[in-house]
Amino acid sequence: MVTTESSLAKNPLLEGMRLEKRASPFAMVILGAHGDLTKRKLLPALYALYLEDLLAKDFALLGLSRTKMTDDEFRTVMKDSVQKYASDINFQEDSWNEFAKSLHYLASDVTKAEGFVQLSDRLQQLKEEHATQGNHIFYLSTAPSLYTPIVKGLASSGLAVKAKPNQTPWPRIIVEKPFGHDLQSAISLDEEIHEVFNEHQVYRIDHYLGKETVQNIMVLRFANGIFEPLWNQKHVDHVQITNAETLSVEGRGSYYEEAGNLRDMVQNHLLQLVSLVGMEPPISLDPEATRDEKAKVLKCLRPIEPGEVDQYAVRGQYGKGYILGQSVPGYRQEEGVANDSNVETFTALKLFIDNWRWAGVPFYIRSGKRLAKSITEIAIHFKSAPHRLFSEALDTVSDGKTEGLSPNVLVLQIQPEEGISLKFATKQPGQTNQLRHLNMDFKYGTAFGVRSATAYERLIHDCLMGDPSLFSRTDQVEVCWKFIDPVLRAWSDKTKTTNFPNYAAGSWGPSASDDLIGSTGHSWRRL
Amino acid sequence: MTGMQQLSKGKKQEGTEAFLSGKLAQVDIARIEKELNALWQSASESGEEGGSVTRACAMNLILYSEDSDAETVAGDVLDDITTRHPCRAILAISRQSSTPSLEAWVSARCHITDSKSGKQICCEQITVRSEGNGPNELASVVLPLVISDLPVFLWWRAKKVNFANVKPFLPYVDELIVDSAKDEGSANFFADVIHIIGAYLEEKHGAQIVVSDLNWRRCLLWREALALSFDQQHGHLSVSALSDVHTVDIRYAADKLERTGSINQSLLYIGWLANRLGWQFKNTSKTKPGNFVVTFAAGKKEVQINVSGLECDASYIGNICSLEVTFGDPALPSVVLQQIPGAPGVQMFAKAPSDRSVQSPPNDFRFKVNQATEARLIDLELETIDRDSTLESAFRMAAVIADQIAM
Repeated sequence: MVTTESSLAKNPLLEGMRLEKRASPFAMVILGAHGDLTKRKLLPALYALYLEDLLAKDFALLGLSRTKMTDDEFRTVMKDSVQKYASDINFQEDSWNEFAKSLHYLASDVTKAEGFVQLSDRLQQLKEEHATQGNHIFYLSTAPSLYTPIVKGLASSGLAVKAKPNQTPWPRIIVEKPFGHDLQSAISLDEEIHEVFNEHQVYRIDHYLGKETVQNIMVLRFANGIFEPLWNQKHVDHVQITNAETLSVEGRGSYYEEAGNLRDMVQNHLLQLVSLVGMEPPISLDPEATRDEKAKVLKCLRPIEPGEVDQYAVRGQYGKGYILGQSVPGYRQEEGVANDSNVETFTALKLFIDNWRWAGVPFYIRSGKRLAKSITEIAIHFKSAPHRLFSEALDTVSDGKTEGLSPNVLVLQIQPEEGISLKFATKQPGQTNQLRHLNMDFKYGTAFGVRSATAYERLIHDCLMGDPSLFSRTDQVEVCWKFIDPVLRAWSDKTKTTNFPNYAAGSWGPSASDDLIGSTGHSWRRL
Repeated sequence: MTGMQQLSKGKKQEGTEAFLSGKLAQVDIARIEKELNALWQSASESGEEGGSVTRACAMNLILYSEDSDAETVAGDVLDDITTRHPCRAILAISRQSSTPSLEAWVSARCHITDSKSGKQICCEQITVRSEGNGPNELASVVLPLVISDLPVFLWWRAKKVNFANVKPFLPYVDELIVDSAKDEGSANFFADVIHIIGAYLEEKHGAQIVVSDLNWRRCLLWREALALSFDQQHGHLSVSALSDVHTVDIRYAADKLERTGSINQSLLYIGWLANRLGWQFKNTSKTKPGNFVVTFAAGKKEVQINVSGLECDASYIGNICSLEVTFGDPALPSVVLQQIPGAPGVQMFAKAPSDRSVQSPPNDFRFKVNQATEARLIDLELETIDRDSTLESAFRMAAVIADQIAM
């Protein structure tokens, strides 16, 4: 149940009560309902929300794609998917049967005007059957090339209507990444969407922002007094953000050939992480206040000039190698990939945030497929202690060599295990002052024994509640594209040769990536 | 390894397995922490061979009980709540006896988080049973076991909230959880709790103790339902109708034994309503055992609240099972809140005065079922430590009414 601020103020009986917010009735249209995302993520998330009683009493889910299917066939496919891909959900036959009553399907072609006439008719029918009150959410889970025809189709059929800024925003549109192909196409897509939807109706999904640990970055920084005083150029030496996957393109070769790693991971997920680490404290938890601060820090990213790309960016493509004891092919041998492809499967960037807080602190980000290990983390490397009191007490590292005192490192682990780790020095037991560096670990999964909501559960629920805090705003998207556009242009220059493949599957990327970070006197964390 | 060493290792492992499986291991009262640490040490060593064990703790929960089934009840509740609230649970049992004794046991409460690897997250439970001793003796064993810097919840699961018994624990407590429904024979349960709040304030030089009542949470859905009946978005009537309330009829699930606790939820509800609407207490009258009328002044008008106990489908004795609010203006429909047998939560109706027809609200108006188990209620209480001034003022008004009823 949603209550308004005004009713809370007027009704004395509501004082001191924290009423649980409940989503309004709705009909969600999933465009691209036969795709992998719907099966693996969206339906399991919606069913989990249903089990948690977080959906409205009256709702309808309408799957739409070109594949011919009846409602019942669609329900069966979705039931199988939920059972297959969401093993952590307590699947119950009874509750599924209830949930599935709200599940419908429409076989339709969204590139044709008739498709939207059919959609409009079906939504009218569902409004009567499920009392959805005409509150529509359009979830674009299709190929990005269909975004523009869909938006146009929604507009011409009257399903897309601009809501006034002070109105509860209906209808809503959720757009999956990638939001555009480059700066120009992102601006064009934005303009097309804004023709028929106002910004507060648009939810650009970046599932990284729905992860517990990512949300916890703000809590760690702004709810704990001990970190924020150290969170600046005086105390932080550099920041490393790693997103490594052992997986290949997993049958999405043709998509990846269009996107590449820079567009697929860096432009959205990793720059969002940079903004969360680098942002100033927002004035409140109001959605716009947080998004303002994130946009501000992204606007401070030092632009990479076209002639400087090689100093700040490294690209790589995997060749054949070994992953977990198995021989795996190179990228060019993957299905749907050209055998002379120059698309990058690895990116490393060195970037600077030119503001008071971060002046001179390098942020290194790396992302890649078919790397040695699947891991995503943010590591804040603090400066070493100013005076080497224990200069004789050297650390012994595993390969037998010795090195000086290591600095403290605060690691925010995002996947596979969500947690926080702090590396600090301690005295080794014994008669000497020998020091050891140990990690103080906090693991989400062990501290709280309950199942965390998945990123999609959180984000879909936020959209149902009309809360855009964890979604990317138009200016954030634009500034991210603006930042990487010179790199994209340089890398798309066909006259420049690449030495692809330049790293073996199962390694940590090309050696140029080590040179990039090494040029500023640092080295990648050994993960 | 010698034969003796092997035998000793085998016994140690057996002890560790019993500990992790939740079996109580008796320990010397003076060595509780040491014994516990030894068991965890041993568990982590054996974890290297089998599934790993992680000791988790985010709070202290002291459960005080005088009941004969304290261990069983605590076991059931802790099994449920420790998955969401990893804690050090200290079960403090106080019993009458002519022979004073103090005994302690430790055990772990583990949950497997990953069936493949066998990874377990474990909390610890320390049971201290005190027979024939006073509260100071018990507190002197229990309080040093509290883990520093973590919040301390004291769940007072006894028939009376006796100040003398609670007092020794207070210096360590952040939140006191009581259950006014469990009260048996207090002269005035609410007055006793208010006294505790005042004593804490004095002792802690102005710091406030947070008090929560499971019964307050049980009647939350009735408070929400009534509040939203006057919300334009959800209910039938506007807020202005609240100034025209004439009569409130409250029916609750009666107890044949007529324990004082059975009317406490109704008293709390009246206390809340009167405070929120600024009514002044005038008097009470008893109509028959378990039934009473409370009269308030609302400006120049009077408001009468009729409370009656009856057999109804409520999962807990003392729970409200229906409520009707009527107004001075005969044109206004009365607001009826009631539990429909078998249906979750509370249903809201508007009853037109002329044709007595009923009308359901226009919007989604489900209320979550609050006839929750004790474990679920505790689970909710442990989520935050927030002082609830609405509860405290409801307690004060309930104490005034309870005083008058007892006279």
